[in-house]
Amino acid sequence: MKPLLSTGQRDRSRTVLAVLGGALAATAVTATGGATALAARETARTEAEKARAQAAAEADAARAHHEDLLAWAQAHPVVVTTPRPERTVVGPKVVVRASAPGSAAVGGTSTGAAPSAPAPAGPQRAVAPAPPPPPPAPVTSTGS
Amino acid sequence: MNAVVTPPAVDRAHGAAAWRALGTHVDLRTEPDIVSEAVAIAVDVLDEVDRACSRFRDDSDLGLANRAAGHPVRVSPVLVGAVRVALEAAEETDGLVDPTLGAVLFGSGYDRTFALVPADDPSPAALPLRRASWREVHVTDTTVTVPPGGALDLGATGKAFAADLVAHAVLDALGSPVLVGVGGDIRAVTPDDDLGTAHPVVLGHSLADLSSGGASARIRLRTGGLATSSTSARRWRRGGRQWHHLVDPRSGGPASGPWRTVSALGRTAAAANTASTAAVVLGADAVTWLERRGVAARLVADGGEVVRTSAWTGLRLEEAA
Repeated sequence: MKPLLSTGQRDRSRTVLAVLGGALAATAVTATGGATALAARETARTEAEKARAQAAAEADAARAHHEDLLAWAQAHPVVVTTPRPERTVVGPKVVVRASAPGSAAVGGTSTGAAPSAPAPAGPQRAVAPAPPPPPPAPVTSTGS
Repeated sequence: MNAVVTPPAVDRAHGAAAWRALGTHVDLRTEPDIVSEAVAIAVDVLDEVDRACSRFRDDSDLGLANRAAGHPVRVSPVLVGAVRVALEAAEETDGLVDPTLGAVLFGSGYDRTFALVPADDPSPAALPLRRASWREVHVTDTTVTVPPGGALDLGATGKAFAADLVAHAVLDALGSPVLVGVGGDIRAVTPDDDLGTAHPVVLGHSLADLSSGGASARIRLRTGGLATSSTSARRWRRGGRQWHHLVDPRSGGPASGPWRTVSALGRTAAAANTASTAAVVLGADAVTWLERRGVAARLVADGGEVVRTSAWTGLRLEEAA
């Protein structure tokens, strides 16, 4: 009985079938990968948008809370206190004297400035006293 | 940290002492037999002033109040007194002596104790665009409120107030006359109406200038206050501009003359300092301003010319050279 296909035809058919099968498999793999990547990208975009929206909402809420706090703080001033050691060196009487109204009032020259004319000499002593030790340097009043 | 950085040198024979505190020099004169006790009181008082009023200490009451600007801050009575005096000086001079220039001084580079400020820093100054007003500072018996965005600096009246405080503390504790000089701001007090000793005082531009033979004058002071303000002291450069510690609140920059140094008398050291600082800041109009208020003052121009108010001349204060 004569075969339907010659040996050459059979080999060509096998080759064509192998090529077609391979191409089909490659196309299927590529298509599957592409579809998966597309889906992943879309998911990532959606997630990013969602995160951005959430962050914006949280920032808006924080800003509103901050403004509420500011408004409240302005309406309710508080004294800031810090535990500190007691200071008793300078008594209240001294502070009041040094900072009483008029402490920084300009004018009304002090009467305590001494004229430069020397004081009249007292009566001469019979015996001159021992010379005193040299006086200290005068006090200075300069810019500082 | 203690305010005293060098131990006081005490001359018991003459009742004199000198040391450094609050970043400057301190002089004390009193009766020889109580000088040691007076110095001990002065050291403690100045230490307390430093803890209350220093702009450069994080733990000071002033530092706390500046950091909590906009809120009342509970502070020590010493800072309450210092701020009250500073506000009175501002009121008295219509803001020429302004305690709210802290932000300007910080921004111009004077943001640490002066010995650590670079002499010439090329980086630009960071000056505030809008300054708080001294009229916005609130003080009660226990709290101080610095206006939002502002910073207090008591450099102008602070040392004078410290001199007043020490003088009163010594008089209160020992009942003896005393003269105290803190950074050139001097206060002399006596018990009752005692005229006290006439202490010699040398006036000059700065200690450095005096020690290098610079111009000076010599007067005698029994009681009251004497202060000298000068553009010769505490000078630095920032961003190519010459700064000094006397800032003109009208311009926000260093006072620009024509007076280099002004010495003035007052009932207290704070009052004397208010007059001398205002005169340097006011510039050309200073003499009229001082005369109108009857202030005894001696003004030295940048070129060395000396001008005396009629009250100063009338007191015949200066000794012949």
